[in-house]
Amino acid sequence: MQIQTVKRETKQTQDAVVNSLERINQILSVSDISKAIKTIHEVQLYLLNKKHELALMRMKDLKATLIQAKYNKDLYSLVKGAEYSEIVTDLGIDMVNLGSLLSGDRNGVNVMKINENLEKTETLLGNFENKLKFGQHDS
Amino acid sequence: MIPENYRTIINKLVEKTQRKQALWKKTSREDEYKISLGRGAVTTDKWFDPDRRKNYLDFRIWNEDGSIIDSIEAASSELDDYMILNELHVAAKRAYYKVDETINDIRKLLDSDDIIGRTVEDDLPF
Repeated sequence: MQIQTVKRETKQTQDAVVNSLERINQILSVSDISKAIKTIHEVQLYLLNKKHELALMRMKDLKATLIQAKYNKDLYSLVKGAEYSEIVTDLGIDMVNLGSLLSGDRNGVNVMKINENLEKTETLLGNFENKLKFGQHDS
Repeated sequence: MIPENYRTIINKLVEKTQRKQALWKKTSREDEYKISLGRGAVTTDKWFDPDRRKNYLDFRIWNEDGSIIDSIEAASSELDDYMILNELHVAAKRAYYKVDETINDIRKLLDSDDIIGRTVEDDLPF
């Protein structure tokens, strides 16, 4: 009888630890997404003020965060879709285009379009953040 | 000289675009178009270099991490390569702006007995 009670309590403790770890991972994932959204706002501000070098630097940070998210198991079900792949590719294209403008290699970059792509990214990340916070995704 | 495997890909992309089976989007450059292919993408760009006084075209392949994995560029002086890249660029641009569909709509309207054009009441000078 005593052994059974100890076993049950051990199982309950293990489950509680697993749940806590999952919750901590989710909080970290939400924090990563919040960080990415904050970076988007910084990039938009730099673009608005024509500080293209600084915008490009922060875009590199944003890209690194977006790629890192693909390897986070709590985010996997959210980032595996084509829409996510497309925002990462578009960000890469925008970075190369902004880089070409800065180096004087090619003119004719539409900063409004970069901003539009960033808005799309922010909307998608905002949806992910809500799904993680309110637990509406299948991991 | 564009390698044979690239020529094949470009020709197939042109044909698919001309068959209206390719959805091109515009990028943040004035005359660059992109199509998503699986997890990556392909872009075609056209620009004028004022220093060299030449038009240029490129064809880039992007991976799912938004990095260029290969790229081909041709100046207007390299006629053969330029023509191949130009065919894709023209096809992508026409598809993006729905040029054929718009011309068909215009033709249908002109063939019909409908009155065409619009008047705005407030524009009347009296």
